[in-house]
Amino acid sequence: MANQEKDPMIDMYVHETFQLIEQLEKIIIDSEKSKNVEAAINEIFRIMHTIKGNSMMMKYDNISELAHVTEDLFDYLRTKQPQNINYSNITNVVLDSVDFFKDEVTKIQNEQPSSNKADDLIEVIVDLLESLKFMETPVLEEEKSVENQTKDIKVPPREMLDNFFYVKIDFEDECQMENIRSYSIVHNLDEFGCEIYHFPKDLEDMDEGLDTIKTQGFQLALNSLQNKKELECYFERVSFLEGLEIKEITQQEYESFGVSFNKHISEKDITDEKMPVGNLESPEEKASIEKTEERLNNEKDENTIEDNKKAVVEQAQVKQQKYINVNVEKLDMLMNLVGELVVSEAMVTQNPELKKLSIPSIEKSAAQMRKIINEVQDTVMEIRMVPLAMTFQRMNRIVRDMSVKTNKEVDLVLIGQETEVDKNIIEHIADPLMHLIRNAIDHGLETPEERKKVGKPEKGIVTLEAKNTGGDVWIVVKDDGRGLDRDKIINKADKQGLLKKPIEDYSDKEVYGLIFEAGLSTKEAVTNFSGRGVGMDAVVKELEKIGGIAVVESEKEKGTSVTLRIPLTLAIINGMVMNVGDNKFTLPITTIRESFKAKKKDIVIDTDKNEMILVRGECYSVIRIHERYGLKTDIVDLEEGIMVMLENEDHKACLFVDQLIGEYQVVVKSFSKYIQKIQGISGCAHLGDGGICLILDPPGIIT
Amino acid sequence: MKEKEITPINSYDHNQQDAIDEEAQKNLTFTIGEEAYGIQIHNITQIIGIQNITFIPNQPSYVKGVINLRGQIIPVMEVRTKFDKPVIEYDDRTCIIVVNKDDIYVGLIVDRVSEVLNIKESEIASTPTFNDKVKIQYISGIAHVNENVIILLEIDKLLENE
Repeated sequence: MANQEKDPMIDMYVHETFQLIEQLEKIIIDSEKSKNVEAAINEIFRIMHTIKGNSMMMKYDNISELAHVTEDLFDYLRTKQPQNINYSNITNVVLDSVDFFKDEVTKIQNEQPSSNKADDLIEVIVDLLESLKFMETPVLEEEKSVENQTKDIKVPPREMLDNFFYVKIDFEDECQMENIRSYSIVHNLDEFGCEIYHFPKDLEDMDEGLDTIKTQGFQLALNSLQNKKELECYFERVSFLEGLEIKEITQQEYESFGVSFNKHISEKDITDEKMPVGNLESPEEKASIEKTEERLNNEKDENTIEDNKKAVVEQAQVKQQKYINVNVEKLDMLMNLVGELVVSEAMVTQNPELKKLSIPSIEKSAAQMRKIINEVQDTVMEIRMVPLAMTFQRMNRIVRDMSVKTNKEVDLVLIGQETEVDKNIIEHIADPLMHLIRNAIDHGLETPEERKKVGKPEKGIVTLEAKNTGGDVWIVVKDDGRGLDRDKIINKADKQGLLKKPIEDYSDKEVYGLIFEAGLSTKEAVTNFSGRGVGMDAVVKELEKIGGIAVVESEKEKGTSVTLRIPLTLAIINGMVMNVGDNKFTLPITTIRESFKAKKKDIVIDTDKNEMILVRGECYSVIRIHERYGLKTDIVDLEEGIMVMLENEDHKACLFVDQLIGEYQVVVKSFSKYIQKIQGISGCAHLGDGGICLILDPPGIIT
Repeated sequence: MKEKEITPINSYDHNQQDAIDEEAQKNLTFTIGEEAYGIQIHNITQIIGIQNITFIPNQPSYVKGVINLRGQIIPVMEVRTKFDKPVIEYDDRTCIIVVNKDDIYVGLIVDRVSEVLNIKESEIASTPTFNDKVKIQYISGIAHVNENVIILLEIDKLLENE
């Protein structure tokens, strides 16, 4: 069945499973932190169960098998509540499972074949469960777990089940996979030891089941040990639930539901809510019809009279439908279209013929249109903004793993998780952050003993902070460790031949900047996580892709902080367009300090024939764009063209171009892979006249 | 590809076999100077006239720059230069063939686009060793159709940067 409607089903599955996995990871790490794993057992059990149910439905056996044994483990913990357990073992096992799920689901997402089975892990978990059981009650009446692997459900003896319920579930319109969700509900209840009749009966039949659930809701009649409260609790946790109705019924009613539900299967045509009312002989059917009518009446009531209730219900609905999942590709497309719109708007309103006419009414309408287009653009940008919270939360896991493996106690403090950045950017910062945090723990923080000696609390603190500063987002990774060792870094860099000037000439900041050079690691021994000297330059490389930079600050014995400065968005920039011969270039306006005509007396040429220019007593090097990129132009005299002073970090330089054309909003497009990387050019953009200009990249030009 | 069991001249004899539906591939043929080339049609997105090309610095000589094709920015390369042939001025028959290989779009600048030809496998001879002007590595075979010789190009190889 997975083959028929492949895409939407698998997408839903992948999406949901990822969410569950993330939730699970967070729960387990939080609970470990607060030393209260017991509290999370139920939640973990539930998530494992949902994962299992979904995976079984989709026939991803390797995932469901693993989820199954993990679920067993937690079922045991949940029901027997054994004392004196070493929870770190269990946490590790769960995290291992999480990793396995992640791998597998990623494979599914990428349509790769899933090769490996989790047999080893399953064995570990089964062993763990066995040992737990052994510890608790050496003589267990049944060797439950092993058999559970082959999945047989033990239904308690009948006479114990004495509560009967009718349950009707409505899913949200948008939730999709209703049948799978229903299946997992039934499956869950099975494990509670309930006896169930449900309608529609055949949940695996795609069309029938799905439609019926969509139109009529999912109906259950159950015979259960649990009381109404417990059931309510259970059902309320079901995701995407819109309406829930639980009624206690008598045994007769229960039986009649069983019959009528089965009957529906044979009369498949009756899919409408209104069932035939006429000639009903059997009491079973009558009961069911009465029920339906009652329900209909209820709905009618809600619709007409009970305005109060209705308002509440509606409100709830509005709240629930606030979010929708959108394919990123669609957003990208929308973004591109808006970009085109911005450009074509300029094409129309800046049309020279039209300008000559100077008609006030057109100018007025044009201004109005521009305003709207700007708003559209802003809104589209906003849609693409995603809070950093998810990425930050993921770091908890890294901190946890690292602190276990390095035997250092670490607290991760997260600040500003709500800060939003473009979706494309988020994808590029997770890895750098991971590196930085590993580095901070492995290199930055001292061991607890060392910390004690210097009078710091034994527990180290790593702070991960995000903040908005104008056009940039700053992400700061800070530790309160030993700080960077200037001498060590500079000696190492000297040995590797990375120094470009005498050691004395290096400022502290420059020295710290050296840690981003490839091949430099001051850690003597290479550990599993860091010390190879590849991490930090990888961080910078990844950041470069999104136009970000990294700055290090450090104070001896106080700690180190690395600040990542990342542009808020990549898509549209305000740029100054200038030309060199027939070629047009754009510089982001924020990097331009000033532009001016050079005077002969200010131009200095040093002994190496490098040109420099004096501006208010300061000397800046001149970069001739036409020479740099081998372009043809008639303007080669520095006095004829124009100087554009640009600033990047602490460096300033003057670009020499023919002339400035004006300030434009340009839509950034990256080059096709076919174009080889050009130092100093980060991409290109459309101009209003359909032409293309190249976007200069200040750091690339200056270096 | 079959061995050279078929001599160039007898290609016409295969007309009667058309009905048998021999494995035939559609090729777009174009010329550069006197020579005719063919590329498989399924790689081709569209054919456009010559456009304004924006120069991109620091590229191999045959990469002429980028064009703006309805909002999409597409690099263009001159097949002539790639094959080390003398440069000529573009005229109104100069065309850009936009090809798509693994979602990378590249425009090929050629002198003239000729036609779409069905070329049967039996008409294709494997790569010979003559003609040092065109580097053999780009060639997937030589086809003889209606007494014309068409050099079939391998798109993947053609798009590889040196």
